Amino acid sequence: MEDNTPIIEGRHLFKKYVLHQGDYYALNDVSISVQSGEYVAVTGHSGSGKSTLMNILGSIDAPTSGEILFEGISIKDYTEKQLAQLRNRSIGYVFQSFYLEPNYTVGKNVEMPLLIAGYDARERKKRIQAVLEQVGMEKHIHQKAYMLSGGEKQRVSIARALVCNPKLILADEPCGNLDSENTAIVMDIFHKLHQEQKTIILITHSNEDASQAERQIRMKDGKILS
Amino acid sequence: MIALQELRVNSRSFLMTACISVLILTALTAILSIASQIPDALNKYVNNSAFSTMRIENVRYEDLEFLETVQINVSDMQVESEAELSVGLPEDWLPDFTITTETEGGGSKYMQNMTEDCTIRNINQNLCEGEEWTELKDRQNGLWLSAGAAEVLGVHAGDLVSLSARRYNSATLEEVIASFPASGSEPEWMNTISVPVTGIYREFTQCKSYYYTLPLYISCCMQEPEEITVFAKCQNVMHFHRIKNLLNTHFLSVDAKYEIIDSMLFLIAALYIICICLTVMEIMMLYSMVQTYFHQRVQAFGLLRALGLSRGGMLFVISTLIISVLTICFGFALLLSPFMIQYVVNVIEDVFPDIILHISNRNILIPAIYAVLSVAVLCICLLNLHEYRSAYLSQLLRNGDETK
Ligand SMILES: Nc1ncnc2c1ncn2[C@@H]1O[C@H](COP(=O)(O)OP(=O)(O)OP(=O)(O)O)[C@@H](O)[C@H]1O
Ligand SMILES: [Mg+2]
Repeated sequence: MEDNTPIIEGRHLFKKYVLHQGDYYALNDVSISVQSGEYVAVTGHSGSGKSTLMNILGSIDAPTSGEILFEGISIKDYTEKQLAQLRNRSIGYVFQSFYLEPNYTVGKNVEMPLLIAGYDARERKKRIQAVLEQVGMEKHIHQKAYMLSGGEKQRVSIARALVCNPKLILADEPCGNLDSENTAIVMDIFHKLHQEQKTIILITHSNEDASQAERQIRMKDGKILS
Repeated sequence: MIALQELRVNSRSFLMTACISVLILTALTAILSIASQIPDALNKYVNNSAFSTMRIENVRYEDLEFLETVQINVSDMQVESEAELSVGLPEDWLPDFTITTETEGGGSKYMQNMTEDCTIRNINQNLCEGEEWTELKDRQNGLWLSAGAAEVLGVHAGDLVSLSARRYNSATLEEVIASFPASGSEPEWMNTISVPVTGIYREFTQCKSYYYTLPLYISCCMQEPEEITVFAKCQNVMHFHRIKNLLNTHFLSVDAKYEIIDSMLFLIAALYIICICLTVMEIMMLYSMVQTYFHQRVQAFGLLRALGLSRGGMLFVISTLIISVLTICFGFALLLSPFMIQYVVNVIEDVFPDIILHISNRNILIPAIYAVLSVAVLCICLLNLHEYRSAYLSQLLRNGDETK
């Protein structure tokens, strides 16, 4: 891989929703390119298409037209299986509403991507331990997820995103549901991840959070402003 | 692994359907076991009792060949007006050395399916020389002498002896008395053929001095083939009607009582129809179980997909999960079904006291049902799975938000 190949690149992305009132473009000719190791913040008003962009970049949604290149290769040609593998190994997702399994323990929640990837029991245990320590949740490993506070849940969901050691981390308003104290903890984790040369795309409402990133991208009405 | 966790976490939502499934499967396995046992039990019953014997009249000698090709067990044959038969030495034949049927000899029918016959079994078991009865194939002539008779006649297996019979209806009592003392030469009214002794047997209880096969009897005493009445039973009562029709097309008079067979055939059909209904019900149960499960877990599955589980992997996880639920239900059903079988068997035995059924649920159809249900589950999962295409995962996650 050449150094200047972007880890992820979106070219002329459109996303059309067919509504009663007529077609609505949540993404309208968006092109974005993120280099390996970059820390990018995407900001914009509610409804500007940030989440849509993240879902499309993370291949959990398909664009109406346009192309996504992961490490220079278009994922259009990927098979179902390759796409699944891409999501499993190369991308870590952090969602605004966590999406933890409430009845699973913290450990089991974090273990999920490892099980899917097919790691053996010893390796799984080692990685879960390491990643929970990284987010400071190692004490809660046997606790059921529904008993955690919002900040703790988000830390667990970050741990889950990191456990397969992905190249790219996509975080959709990770602090949207958190108070300032927990926001600080979570932002601190992202800061450390950036220092470890992880590529991070952070979606946020808050300008303060965005200012921690190397580069800011502003979105409005499905278009990129700057 | 994921499947196991899902099973543990969601066990409560499966419980209700699982319980109903256990009931359905219990009934299913019980009824199947019973239905599959009835034919055998009925066969045994019919063959061990005088019940539903077919009486075939006016069978000609040539027809015996045809009867052998039909799947029946001949239990008895009656030859019209059995003539007096005697066995003697070929040369210097004297009345002293003659053994006659009326007192000492006996005929037996030789047919392929006659191994059940107790006389033939006795002869074979006590055989000390020569060939067994059952080794004779193709309705050959055969003559067996008791050891005593062989000693009187001074013959061994393979030696030729004369078999004589009165010509059918041709001799009067006076003729017999008049010509018997004139020994040495064969009287006019006698029909004599020379046959080798097939075998010699030790005497057994109630045995006669000699036995001959039916073909031998007929070739000895009849010029014209006579009519025989055959009593027979179906080898397999399930084919009763087919065989009866077949026989009816060949013979003028076939008399058969088949009420019990008919009611049993009806019972079997009814039981199998119930089985099919239960299977359909069970498939519907599984369908609703899978549907509700999928519905409840939209978001979880969306998440699993987002975390990189391929659709094939998901099919594996979910089908493993549902099939293990099914297997557990089946296990319980197999444990419970003997009680149910016991109950149904009691009911059947009240109505048909002579039918003996076992309380066992070993039956090849049960694994078959299991396989059918598993395949059905797989299909149901496959049908549900197409919603989980990559492009819609964000939608799935959002849907989950809304239902919360
Ligand atoms: N499935 C859908 N059907 C119709 N419209 C949709 C759908 N998903 C998103 N949209 C619309 O697309 C636009 C962009 O949505 P998106 O979720 O990307 O916004 P956002 O920038 O993430 O907003 P927020 O900051 O509130 O999360 C919105 O106007 C939304 O109504
Ligand atoms: Mg959003």
